[in-house]
Amino acid sequence: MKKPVNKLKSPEQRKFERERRKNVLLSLSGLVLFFVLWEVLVDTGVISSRALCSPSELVGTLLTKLVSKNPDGATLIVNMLASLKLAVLGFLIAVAVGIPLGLFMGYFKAFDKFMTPIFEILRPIPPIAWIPIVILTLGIGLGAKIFIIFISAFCGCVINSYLGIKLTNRTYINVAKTFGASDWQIFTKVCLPSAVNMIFAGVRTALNSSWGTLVAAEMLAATSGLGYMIQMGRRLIRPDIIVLGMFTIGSIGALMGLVLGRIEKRIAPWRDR
Amino acid sequence: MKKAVKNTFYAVLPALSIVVILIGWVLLSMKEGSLIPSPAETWSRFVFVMTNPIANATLPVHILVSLRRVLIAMVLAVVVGITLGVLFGWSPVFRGLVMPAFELVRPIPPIAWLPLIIIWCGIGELAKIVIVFIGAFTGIVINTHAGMKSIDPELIKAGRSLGATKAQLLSHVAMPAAFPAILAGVKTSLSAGWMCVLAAEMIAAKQGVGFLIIKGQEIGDMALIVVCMFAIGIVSMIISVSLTKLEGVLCPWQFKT
Amino acid sequence: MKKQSKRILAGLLAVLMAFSVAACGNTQQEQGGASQPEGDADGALMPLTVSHQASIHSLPSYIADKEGVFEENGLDVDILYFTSGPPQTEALGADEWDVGCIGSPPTIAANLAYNMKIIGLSVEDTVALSFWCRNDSDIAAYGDPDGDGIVGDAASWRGKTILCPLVTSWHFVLIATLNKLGLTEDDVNIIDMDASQAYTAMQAGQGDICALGFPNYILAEDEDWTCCATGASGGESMPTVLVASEKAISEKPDAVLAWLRSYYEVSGKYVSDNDALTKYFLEMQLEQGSDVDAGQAAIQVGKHTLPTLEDVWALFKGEYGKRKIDDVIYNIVDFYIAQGRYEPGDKDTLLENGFVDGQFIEKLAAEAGLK
Repeated sequence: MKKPVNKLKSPEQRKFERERRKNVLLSLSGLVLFFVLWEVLVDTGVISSRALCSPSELVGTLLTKLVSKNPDGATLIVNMLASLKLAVLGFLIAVAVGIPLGLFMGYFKAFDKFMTPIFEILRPIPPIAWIPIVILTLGIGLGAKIFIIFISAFCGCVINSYLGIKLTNRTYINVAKTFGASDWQIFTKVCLPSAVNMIFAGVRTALNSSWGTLVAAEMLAATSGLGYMIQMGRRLIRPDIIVLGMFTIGSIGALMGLVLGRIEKRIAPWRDR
Repeated sequence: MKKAVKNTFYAVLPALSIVVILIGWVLLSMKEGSLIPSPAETWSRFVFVMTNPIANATLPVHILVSLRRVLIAMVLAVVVGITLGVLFGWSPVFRGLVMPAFELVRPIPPIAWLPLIIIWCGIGELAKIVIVFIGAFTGIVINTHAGMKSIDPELIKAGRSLGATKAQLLSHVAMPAAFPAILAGVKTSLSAGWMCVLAAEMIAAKQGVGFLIIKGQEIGDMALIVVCMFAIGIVSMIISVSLTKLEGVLCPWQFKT
Repeated sequence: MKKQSKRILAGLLAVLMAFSVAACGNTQQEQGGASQPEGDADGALMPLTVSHQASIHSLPSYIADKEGVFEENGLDVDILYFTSGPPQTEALGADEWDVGCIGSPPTIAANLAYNMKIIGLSVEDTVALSFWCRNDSDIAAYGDPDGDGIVGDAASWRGKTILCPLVTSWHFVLIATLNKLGLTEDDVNIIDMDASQAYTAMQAGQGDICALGFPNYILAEDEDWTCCATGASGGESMPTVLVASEKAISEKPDAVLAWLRSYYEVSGKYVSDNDALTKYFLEMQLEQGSDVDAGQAAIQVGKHTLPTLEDVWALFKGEYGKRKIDDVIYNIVDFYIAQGRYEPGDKDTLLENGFVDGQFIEKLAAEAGLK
């Protein structure tokens, strides 16, 4: 019978794990503290229950909404899925278009000069301001809503990829030139790997923007979704539905950030976080 | 010779791109049954709104009203945001306790806060300023925190070896070192805040550029909407450019990007 | 040191610039805020904040303000305008107004949330609401063989995309129409959109049916559209109402009564004078930035009949819960409960809350010798 070999942990490893445990504990107690404080403030009347529902009420609303279609016409899960579909599609298209665009703009000057005016005009306009024009051109279906999310997410992608190329160490490029590399080779073999950090930053920004523009996109014309649920909560003066919607948006957003962080660590562990 | 040709080529390209956009726009507006205003219509509406009041104010006044809300919100956002960001960066205990709640609240877009803010702050200026504040302050917190994280530990060690107290380390070493990141944060947040002003002006505003877009939607005045979109965009660009110039003055050692 | 002071100077200049812009942009402050409790009895005017929409139901209150009727009745009135019911009731949650004129659907939620009360009635809301489809749709093709005002049948309406603002009078008419067709909200695709937005979207080729209000239902005649449902064809009555906040009723009942009295004074005076009403309505629309002409205003005024105190009293007299007004209002509530917008238990809550509060009408009726 083979005895399992005990891998002795080095002092540094032990210290690291201790730190990590401490951090997790601290984060958890921070969350608990947040909810407890919220509950206390509403229960004692410091914040009136008309202004904000307490976490316990929120749980009640959550459980009810998991199965009930009232009052907006869809259960919480259906709303979540509808919103996720919208945000993820918009995000994927933004990343698929934005990253290559930014990379090319960063490297090929002619392309940069041509695209920059278009880009600089589109960028500062808030997604919600696009809604009237989008209704007229793209309609009121999924495509129109995805466009709103796309517009919001793709700018961050482009800028970050662009910066990633621009910040490539000139020395590396010069060395490659000395070795007779073509433009395209320099682009793919020197600039691209060096831009990976910034590309990730762009992806993260795009994800945050996509999720954040969700509510605006659903204002265009939705029949389900978390933003729509909040709208209905507002119409029917149901602050519990409103807070449920906000809380769900916040939680999913935070979760997505965590997941993305994990993926990043896997793919690019050398990245300084 | 070749360089001169290349340079003129580069100079022509942006102009070419604008021409392409204009052509595309004209085509869109001329399409059968299209409600999109042509560039000419938009221009004449712009000229009209610059001098004739809509909802008791001309376009420049509406812009200033919106700017005022954004600037007041920015001052608050800078104060609160930098404080929070510095605390996150400086005190691990604070970060551990408060960060999770912050991460939970952060993804909620300002427009989702609208109904609650109306209940809490009414429908006056305060509510609009709070919405813009929410949109702006998260960026400042994150950038300040990032700035604090990226401080060279050697600087801290040097300060300590020179006998600085914790407070002195914070004010004389950490914050100046984080300053460029903080300024970058302020820059992005100002853009974010300006974008939020539209959401904010959906709270029963009577003036402001965002309000004009909503008004335009109500009365079906598409030309007004396009004029305002451009106005919002142009002001945003002016803000960005001014802040970059300011950054250049305040942090001259920074790489210009 | 020189560089640092230069930087500090630059920073200060930037902040200074920011504040000077802020000061420059300091144009008219937004009005708002429910006014202070009643003035003293020595004749000082009682402050009251009134909420309006640019609609016929707010017209008597508008006229009362213009003609000094409010002052005659001891009121110092502040008027706020809203574009539709939901933002109006939302502002009530922030205590922004005391009394107002509004459609009935948003009042249900407002009572459940803020205990806002209906204290009077105004014009019938369904007379100027309509739904329109395109001439080339299968709904228009089906036509209106039984002449009941509804174009199309269940089959042609099923699955259609309807652009209609929710929890509003249009929504109620839509539900009534769907009921008549034997359909529910689930059988169609209702997109929550403001009526003016719906008009533009429909023009741009979006949606199958759109809800239109004034003045778009007049402009729609010029489009290739067919009116496929109206308030009348829905067959249900839905009054616009006069409302008061719980706070106003308890803290300044005299001011609320004075406002109601002014309202019915004006409506009684002008009930047959459509020319004067048209003139005032046009004025109100133009003041609120709407681009209509006298002809359109006349059409809208012609469709409505202002309520007199006698008309309103007839609906309010009787035992609480069993008055004609209760039938009308709770019918509306039932419609919404059937669609899942409110819970069945909400109806009991409304009754307990004293949703339709007749105390002021009763006082006015007694004053007028009608009781």
